[in-house]
Amino acid sequence: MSESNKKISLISSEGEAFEVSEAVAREFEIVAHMLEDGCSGSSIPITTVDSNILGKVIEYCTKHVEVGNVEGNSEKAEKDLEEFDKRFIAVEMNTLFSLILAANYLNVKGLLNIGCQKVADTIKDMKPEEVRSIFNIENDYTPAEEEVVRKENEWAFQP
Amino acid sequence: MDSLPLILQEEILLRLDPKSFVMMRCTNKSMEHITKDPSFKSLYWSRKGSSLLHIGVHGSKLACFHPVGDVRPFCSEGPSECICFILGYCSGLILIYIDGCFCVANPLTEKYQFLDYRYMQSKKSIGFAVDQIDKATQRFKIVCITELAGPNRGETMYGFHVSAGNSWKISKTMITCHSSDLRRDMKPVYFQGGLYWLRSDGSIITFNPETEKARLNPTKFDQQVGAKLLLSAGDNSLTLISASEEMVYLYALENIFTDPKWILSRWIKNEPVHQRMLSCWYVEGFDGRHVLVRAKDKIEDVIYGYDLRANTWGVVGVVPGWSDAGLDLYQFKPSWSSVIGLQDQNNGGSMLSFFTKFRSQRRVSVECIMELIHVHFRI
Repeated sequence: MSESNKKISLISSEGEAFEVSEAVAREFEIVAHMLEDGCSGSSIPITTVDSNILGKVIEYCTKHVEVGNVEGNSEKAEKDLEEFDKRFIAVEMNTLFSLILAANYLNVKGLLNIGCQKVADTIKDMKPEEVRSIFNIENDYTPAEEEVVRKENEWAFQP
Repeated sequence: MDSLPLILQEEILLRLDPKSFVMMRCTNKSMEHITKDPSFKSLYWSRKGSSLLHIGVHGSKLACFHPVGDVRPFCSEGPSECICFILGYCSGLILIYIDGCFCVANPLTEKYQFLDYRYMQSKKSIGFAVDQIDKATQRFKIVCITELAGPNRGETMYGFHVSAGNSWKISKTMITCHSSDLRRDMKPVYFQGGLYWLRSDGSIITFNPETEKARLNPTKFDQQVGAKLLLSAGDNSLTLISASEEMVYLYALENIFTDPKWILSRWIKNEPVHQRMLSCWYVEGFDGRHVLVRAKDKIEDVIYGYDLRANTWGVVGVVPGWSDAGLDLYQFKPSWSSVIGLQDQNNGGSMLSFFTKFRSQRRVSVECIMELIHVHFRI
């Protein structure tokens, strides 16, 4: 019997269990390492990720494992996956940041990649004021200091 | 954004275009601090890829620069009267030969240093080595290899002249070995502390500028008839590229100190040359990520890059039609490190005598080349 039929429970910070196949769990590199290190228990606590986010990350990994298993017709599958990624990442900022943090902690490289790229794409063509308000960045400059840094980087403010 | 750990903030910043990068810098002090760090700025540009710097192989008054992602060339502005050569590039620094002088320059910090002339048997006898001592400091050495007839027939004696910026000294190290010409069509390569000169029989002369130890690596390489070779520094190994009109093969040098051998690591279809009628083509460079092939037909002279990660060919530069057939071409990545021995040269003053006027021409040329590069890295 192939190992991928084995089930593993991932436990969220609220204690909720998510049962997934081992193949999906292995998409979390941190889990893959635990399994390789002989951590054979069938339930693994993911204490820093809440149910909502863990559910989403599992959804992402499940989709990627499924597509990875389909043979042939790879071009269409790849396109589908791209579409899926795009929809998946179209969430409000707080959720996006939580997904990035979870992807970083669980070491899901693909998700980390598209998450960071999404933030970068959002920042594009924004003025500092807009970036501050969208990303909750505190402006700790005095007006005089801000004037200086803007002056130094004047070229970027020109149309 | 503040809630993300630093590593993730950086990961996001590295993906921004230069303008957005600078906008982020203006949002708060912590962002300003991260985005002004010299090594972080270098990392930012190295993720974007290499820019191209080239100049006619027989020297020119003009150098050309293609910023990363821009196929159009920008050329240094005249009217500089001095003919320049760019002899070498290493870790963000360029080695220029101009009007009887060497000059080492960092175009990003706009610091440079002229050095005494040293007789060179050919341009390719000059090796340029730059080491990163710590995060923000570099040092350089220039090594000139000399060839003399050895004590026995069929032997050559190699000597080395070394300069770290102030004066030339002759290294005590000499090696004598069976004769074979240093390949004049290939620049020496600096890789992990050693300068490497390829010889016609496939063997390699290695010189470590720090320890001043030299040796002959008895490597063999069967060059296919008509294939073009290029020695270069890959990410983790010295790399030899052998290209025919059909295919480009990459060989990595393994077991460098015990039993050095060239091992085939990648092969790529030579698409820019394959299936086209060209008047000539050249393998121009490899920086660990992109293999560059320049193909010239009657109408244009185009530099193609093969991205080893994306597995695709693309146009990276179109060379102006008036340039010479041969180019000295370098894949440039900026460095903001300070370099031991390089100085700000803004000493102004009056240029009264003929001598100082002549000297200033040199400065003008070097400053033009630095400006040509500098303006494209404003972050």
